[in-house]
Amino acid sequence: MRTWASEEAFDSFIGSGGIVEPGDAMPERYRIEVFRFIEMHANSELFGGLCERHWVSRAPGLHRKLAFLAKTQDEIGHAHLLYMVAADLGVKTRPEMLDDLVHGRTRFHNVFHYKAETWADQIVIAFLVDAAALTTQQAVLKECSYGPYRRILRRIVSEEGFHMRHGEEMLLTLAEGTDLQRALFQDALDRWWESVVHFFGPPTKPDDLLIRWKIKSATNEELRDRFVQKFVPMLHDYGFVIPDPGLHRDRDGRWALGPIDWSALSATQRNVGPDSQARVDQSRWAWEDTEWVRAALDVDALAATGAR
Amino acid sequence: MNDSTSALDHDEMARAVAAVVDPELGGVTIGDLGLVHDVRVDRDGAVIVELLPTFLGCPALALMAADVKQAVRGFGVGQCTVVWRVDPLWDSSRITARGVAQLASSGIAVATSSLLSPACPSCGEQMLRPINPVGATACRAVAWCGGCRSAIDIMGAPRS
Repeated sequence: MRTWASEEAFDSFIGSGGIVEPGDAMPERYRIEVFRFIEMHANSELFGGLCERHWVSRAPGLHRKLAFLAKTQDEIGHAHLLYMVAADLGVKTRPEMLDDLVHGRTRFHNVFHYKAETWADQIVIAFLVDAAALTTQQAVLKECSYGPYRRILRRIVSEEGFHMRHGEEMLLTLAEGTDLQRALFQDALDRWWESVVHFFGPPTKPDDLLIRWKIKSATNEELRDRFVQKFVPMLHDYGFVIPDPGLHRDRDGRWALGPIDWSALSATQRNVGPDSQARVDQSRWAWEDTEWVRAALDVDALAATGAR
Repeated sequence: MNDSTSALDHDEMARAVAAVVDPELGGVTIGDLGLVHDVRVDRDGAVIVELLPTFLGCPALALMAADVKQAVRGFGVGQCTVVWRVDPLWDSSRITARGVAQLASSGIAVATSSLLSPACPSCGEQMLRPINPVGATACRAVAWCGGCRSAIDIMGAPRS
C-alpha cells in the first residue's frame, strides 16, 4: 500500500504517469471521482444492453440478429466487469448502484434518454454512438491513472471496435440501398445528430478533477473534435446531410460545428429527457423480473469481491 | 501440390490465413488462437480453409471467414471456401505460447487442463476466484483476482 503525504504529492505522482492500485491510500476525492466515472460507464453499458436486446427479435435476418445478440451479451458483460471494479472502491455496493440506477437516482449516458423508433435509429446508435463511445474510451485507456479500470478498458475497447464493424456494415447497407433506405437513415441522422454531439459532454471546465488526476486524458471538446474530423467527411462521402446549418470548414480546412444548444443535454443529466422515465422503468422491470435468478444463484462468489 | 513453387505458395497462403487477426481480441491472430485446422488447394485450384470455432454460436464467425477470404485473395487462387468444423473440438490447449502472452496483456487468462485456476495475467498471483461461467463473450468466463483486485476474463474455461 502506498501513501501520499499531501494532495500535492499525489498530484505529482499522477503527473509523472503513476498508476493507482486499489490497496493504495488514495485521496478520498480521487476515490469518489474515479468511482463516479466507472459507475456512469457501467450504467451506460447496462442500458446499452437493455436497449439493444429489443432489436434481437426485430433485426432483419439471422446474421443481424446474431450480431445484436452478441452485442447485448458484450454490453452486459462489460457492465458486469465495471460494477465489480466500481464496487471494490468501497463507495457504494453493487446492489446500491443498481438500486440507484433503476430508480432514476444516478446518471447514464445522454443517448439512452431518447427513444429509438426505427431500424435506422438503431444503426445511428450502433455506428455513430458506438464510435463516439470508442473515441472517449480510447482516450481514457491511453493515460488512465486507475489500474483496474485501465486493465478492463483494454478488453472493452477491443470489443467496441468489433461492434463498430457491425455498425458500419449496417450503415453501408442503407447507404448503398434504395431511396427509401437512404431516407430512413437521413431521417434518423436528423433526429440523433445533436445527441451524438452532446455525447461528449459540455466544454470541460479548467479545474476539472477528471483531467487533473488523469481519469480521462482529453477534454470533451478535444474528443468531440476528433469525432467530427473523422465522421463528418465519412457521412458526406456516403451522401448524407448533417443537420447543422453552422457546420463549416475553418481556415485550416478542419470541420467546425455551429453553435451548440445544450438545453437537451442538461435535461438528460437531470433524468428528465424525452424517454428517461420509460428507460428507467424498463430497467426496473428487468431488475424485478430477474429477482428469481439472483435468488437461485450462489451469491457467495460476488460477496467475496466486496460486490455484495 | 506437386512442384516446389506451388508448395511454397501454399505455405505462404497458410501463413497468411494464420496471420488473420481475431476481430474481437485486439491483435491476437487466429493462428495463435489455434483456430486454423487446415488450408488446402483442391485439384481445380479452389482453396478450402477449415477453421475450428471456440464455440459454435460465436458472433465473429462471419467476420473471420470474410477476413480469411480477403487474406487468401492476394494469392491469385480461385474460389475460397471457409468451413467451420467441430471435429476436432477447439479447446484452450490449442492456443500458442505467443497467443497466451498476447491475451495476458489484454487481461485475459487462458484456462489450463489442471484443476488449478490459471495465474492472474495482470499480477501473476494464483488468486483467481470464478464469478461467472460466461462474460462479455460466451468463450470467456469472468473471475476476480484477489491479488490485484481486478476483473479478469478466462478464455476456454470448461463449463460443467
